[in-house]
Amino acid sequence: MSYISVEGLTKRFKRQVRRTGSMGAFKDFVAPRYEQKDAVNEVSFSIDKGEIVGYIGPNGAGKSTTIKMMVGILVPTSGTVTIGGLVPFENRLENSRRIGVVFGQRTQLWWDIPVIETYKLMQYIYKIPKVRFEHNIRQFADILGIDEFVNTPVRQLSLGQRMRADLCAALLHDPEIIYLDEPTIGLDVDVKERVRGFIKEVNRSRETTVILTTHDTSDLDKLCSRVMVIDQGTLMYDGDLDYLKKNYSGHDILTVETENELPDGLLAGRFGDAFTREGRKCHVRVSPETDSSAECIAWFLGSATVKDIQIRQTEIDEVIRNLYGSFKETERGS
Amino acid sequence: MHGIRLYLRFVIIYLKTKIEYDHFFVFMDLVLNSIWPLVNLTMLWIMLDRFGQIDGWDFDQLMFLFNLSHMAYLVCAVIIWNPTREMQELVRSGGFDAYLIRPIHPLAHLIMRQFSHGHFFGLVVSVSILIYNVNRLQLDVTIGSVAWFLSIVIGGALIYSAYMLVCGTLSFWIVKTESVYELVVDNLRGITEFPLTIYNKTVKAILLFVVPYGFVNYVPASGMFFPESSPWPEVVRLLATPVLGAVLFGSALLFFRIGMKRYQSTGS
Amino acid sequence: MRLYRAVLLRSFQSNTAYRAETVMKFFFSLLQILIQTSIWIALYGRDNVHSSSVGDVSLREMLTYTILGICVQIVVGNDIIWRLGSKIQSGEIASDLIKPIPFARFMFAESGGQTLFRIVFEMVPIVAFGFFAYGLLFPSAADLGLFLLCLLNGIALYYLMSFIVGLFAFWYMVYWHSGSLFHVVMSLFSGSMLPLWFFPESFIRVAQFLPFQLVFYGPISVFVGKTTFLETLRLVGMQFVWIAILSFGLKWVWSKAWRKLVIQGG
Repeated sequence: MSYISVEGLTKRFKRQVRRTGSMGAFKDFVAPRYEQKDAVNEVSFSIDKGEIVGYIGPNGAGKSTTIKMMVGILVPTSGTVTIGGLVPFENRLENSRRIGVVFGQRTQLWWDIPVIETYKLMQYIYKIPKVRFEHNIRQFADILGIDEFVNTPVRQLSLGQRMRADLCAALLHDPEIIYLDEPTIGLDVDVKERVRGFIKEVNRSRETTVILTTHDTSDLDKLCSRVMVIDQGTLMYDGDLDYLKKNYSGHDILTVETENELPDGLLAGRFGDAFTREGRKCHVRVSPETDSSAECIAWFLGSATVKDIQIRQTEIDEVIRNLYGSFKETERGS
Repeated sequence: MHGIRLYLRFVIIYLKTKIEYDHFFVFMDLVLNSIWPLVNLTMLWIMLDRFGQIDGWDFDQLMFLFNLSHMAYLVCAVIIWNPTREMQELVRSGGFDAYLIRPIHPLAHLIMRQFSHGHFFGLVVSVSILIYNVNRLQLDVTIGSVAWFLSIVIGGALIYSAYMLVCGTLSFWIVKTESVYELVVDNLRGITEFPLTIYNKTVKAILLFVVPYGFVNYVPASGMFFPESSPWPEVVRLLATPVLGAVLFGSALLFFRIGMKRYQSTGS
Repeated sequence: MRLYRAVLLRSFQSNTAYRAETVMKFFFSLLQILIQTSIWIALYGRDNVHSSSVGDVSLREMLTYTILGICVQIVVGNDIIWRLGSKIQSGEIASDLIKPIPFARFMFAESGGQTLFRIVFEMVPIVAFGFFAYGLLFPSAADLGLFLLCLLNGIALYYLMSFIVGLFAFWYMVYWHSGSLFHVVMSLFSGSMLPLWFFPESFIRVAQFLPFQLVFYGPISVFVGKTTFLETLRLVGMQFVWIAILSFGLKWVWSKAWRKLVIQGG
């Protein structure tokens, strides 16, 4: 039995359709009209303990709705969610004790007073034993460097500090699952690294299951081996991240700077019309179906003296678009 | 209870931090919360200086009536004003979610995180007015009377809290609840600053049986000053307020639970 | 001129969207009338008249004063302090000032629209209610004319005062503190709920020098017919003097604020 089990999960919302015009407003008041929208439609998956899963999709795809149902905030229209044998929304208190949540944009810390006081509040709420509490604080302080601002009021912290403090707050009670919603948004690169390292360490040493929602490709690369893609309420992909990127990536853009300007004819011979050149810089669009960045680089190295190479990889949104495109094609085909 | 001790601890730390970082603003909050009741009492004094009495109540008795309502309100506002007012925004923005993922009742959590220091200062002023008032009225200060007074204040606070909670809970159904909140919590309460006998029968009935703010100050005070003309038997005068408070607040909590269930099935 | 009319109408229109709130505000005012009139009826008790600094005042005159007080509150009232305060705090004021429109007049037109809306949908029903429920007294034509003149001046005075207080937000960010203090002073000295003629002597002497009573007590006394013609003239004169003083005051505070905005960025 896997730890998290989601079966045929569906959430239907009723939204009022607003009519236009002055008579419309009156009609809306007296006899409102509604439409149904499936935010989440027959989603099924299962997750084992200790996995780090990326859950991605465009905005409005149904990510947060699914997570809300898993966390127990929202009641599904149909289907089942079982976490560690419990149904979340029926056992709110019990389920809450096992989970930690970090919202990227909103802080859960108590705004006006020092960070450590919020931690003590957490200690009370989750009934964390004193020894465990102190051990966790010390360990998190080491990895995340919280010592320097643990006595500062939250409102005076920078975004990076706040995020680290939030992360710590979410893990103090040793939850079995943590849900991270855009945890690295707006952070500096070095803080991002620290946060990712922390998540990996927690997952390794405590077997904490991590469910990560993000738009940051590096987050996915560095943390997740498995990725689930949702769009318009339907689960479109559930599997290996590398496979996804290899098969649905769009074009990589390769930028190579050579010591001497290369003649256009030479470049056209190798790349056809998939290139542009600005002086000594060549930009090449690499189509993954027919070519690979590695081979292109090899060609450059063999054809000229290379001074600098830059690769811009596909964005996740593009991957999803491609995935969706091929999904539609398969539908049309079948 | 451990939770209450913790709450008090947080209150102290909150006040300390606020004073350390924001002392001037805190001072202004203190000044403003002290001025308003004093202004109202000044106006009252001016009126009674000219006219002598309102329906048989003299200035000191009116001050007692006014202060009792005020004190009960402040006691409840210190704890529950911020949480109930914030609910509108929390439900609208989805921030309420954060309170549903904790193994603690969301209302308890909301209360834990807030403390209205403005109302607290007002409470200090209110207590000072009480002491002055009791002196002038030469009321008996015995253990019995103090216990009774405390039960009335707490009962009154529970009654006000119940309605504040109900108005806050409406946010689960209606988007803009500020006006309703203001009407029920502030405006209707304003009626009870004066003895209910000056109003017509409908108003009196509403404030005794529909939104029983009359039991917070009028019934106890009139029972105390004019026991012979009071239509209420002594048992009622002694016990009605705290009992009513407990019952109403309990019902409000149930209503909140219903609101929460609705939030969980429809999202935000 | 046409621009201001357009702004005013737009402001009026935007208020029609808040139907529930309008109804609520009407009930607020109605509740206020109920409370105030009940208090006065109780104060008067069995007497029909009561002595004051201007002679005898009958209960009916007092009730008229009360209802007028609430009406004038509706006509004169504005949320300038709050709107200015939040604009300054958020920095929105900078973009407002880039527009080639005199800012103060623009805000006035916006306020005007809201006030007009409240007059039509709140004040008229209240006056009607007051007339039928309590027997509102109506002044003579001359008194009514003078009252309207004083009222217009009162509107200008209150607007100037509010604007100056609103501008304080440039220096003291917590604008609701300034607003609250202003309201405290107004409720004590303006006579909006308690006419000055019932105040003790010493109080009246102080209040007479302040501009606050020129907004409420002054005009309403004219309406109720408690002032002689000479006194009314003095009142109008005082109003003009204070309008001048406050206009200069506003210009001065404004230039200081402008400098602060331009140099420090607000």
